Amino acid sequence: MVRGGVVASAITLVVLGGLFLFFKKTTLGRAVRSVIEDEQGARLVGIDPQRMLRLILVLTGVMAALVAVTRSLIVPVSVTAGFELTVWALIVTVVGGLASVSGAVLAGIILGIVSTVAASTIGTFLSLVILLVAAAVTILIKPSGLLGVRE
Amino acid sequence: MTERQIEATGTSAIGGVEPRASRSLPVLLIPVLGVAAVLALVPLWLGDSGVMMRVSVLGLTFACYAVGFNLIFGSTGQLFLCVGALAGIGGYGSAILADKMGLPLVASIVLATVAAGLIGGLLSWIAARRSLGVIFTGIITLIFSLVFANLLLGLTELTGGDGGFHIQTGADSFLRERIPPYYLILALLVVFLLVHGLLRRSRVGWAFRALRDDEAAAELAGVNVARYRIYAALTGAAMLGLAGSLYAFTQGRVSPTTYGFAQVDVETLVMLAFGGIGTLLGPVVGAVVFTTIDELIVGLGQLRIVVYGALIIALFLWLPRGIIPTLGSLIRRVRRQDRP
Repeated sequence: MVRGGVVASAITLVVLGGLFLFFKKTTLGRAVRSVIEDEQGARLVGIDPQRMLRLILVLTGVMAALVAVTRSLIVPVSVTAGFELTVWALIVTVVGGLASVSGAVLAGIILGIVSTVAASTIGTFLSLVILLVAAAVTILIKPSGLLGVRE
Repeated sequence: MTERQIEATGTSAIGGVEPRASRSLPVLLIPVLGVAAVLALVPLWLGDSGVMMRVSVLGLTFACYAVGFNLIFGSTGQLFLCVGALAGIGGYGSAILADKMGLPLVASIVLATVAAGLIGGLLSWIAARRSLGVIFTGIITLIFSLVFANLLLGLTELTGGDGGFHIQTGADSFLRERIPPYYLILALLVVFLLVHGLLRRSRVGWAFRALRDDEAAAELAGVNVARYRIYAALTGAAMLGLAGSLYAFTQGRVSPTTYGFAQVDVETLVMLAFGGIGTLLGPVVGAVVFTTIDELIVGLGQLRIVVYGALIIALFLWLPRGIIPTLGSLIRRVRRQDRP
């Protein structure tokens, strides 16, 4: 289990690093970000938004599959795990700030630590409730998310 | 309209938008009573089988959920992903009030219904206050659903946890017989349809259509968008609570899966999308069709979900507006061709 956790963390860190480099340094990554920021503007400088959206979806699929693999190193795989992961992904994304990779990472780490610590101290169900309420409050106070850009 | 604008107005792009609602009463009454008459005949056909009657009661309950959800989402564009939770507040609330607090049956149902309505109104008020869009309203209400589900699992002394509990109140009344519950829920459905229909042909209905088609324009024309949204959420959530509550008493049992997100919200949304978001009878058509399909393929076991998924994909590809608006425009086209 412990070894699985280390391997999973290592894989995650490498992939996240790669993702950051892709978004910050490569032309393709910048093109993707430009579509997210301003679709019309991106089109004006010759970027095809549809192509970028397809690319994003492919990336999403790859990342999701990777999460499933790394997670299977730590916990048993089950048929119904998909829904829970989807919900978590949604909440983490929104808390971290839409379209912000670093926000998602930060929110994921915070929510992950809080949920694990709370589950072992005050019980699974109530800790989940507290966590969900905290997420809802974050969204309500700062709809742009922790690291999101204010519009 | 550019893509952005369609996205911003939300439901008008997804759902079938009826251009106007007729003011004449027969135009409202005839379809509603017609549907009610057809559904009233079902026990003559399936009444001998206890299982089939339970399935039918569940189907009608889903029709009620879909009408309530339609009022919130279809009419005012608020994506409430807490249909099951609001129904559960009605179901668990009234069951706990009646069984554990010793309140009379009717009083507990009324209280739980009011509670569900107020919570729906509160969610809508929060969404209006923070001017949340469709997606954010969806996420906040989804979080509310999850909180509710976890409370059901966590507060075991009150809710019975994972397995739920059996309701003692009303155990010997007509609520647990084979056929009367069906007519009870059918009557509820007819009342819901009439309420929704009457709302649509009133000033409120005009406000709903205005704010759904273009929020900013409605606001400029003097429609208090936030207030009408909250009204719709109050009414719709109370409908969900009442339906959930009556369903609980006809089953004699409540459990987390009775009101689970996957079991209630997803199905209600699919039924409504199939029937036609924003239409009066769409929810009923969707509920009847999907309950029938579900019963026809019951032999497939877990593989049912696959069939379900395939149907939903096909639905969104070929019938994105739902069956009622599609049929409506077909009929209009045929009529236009008839005329020289």
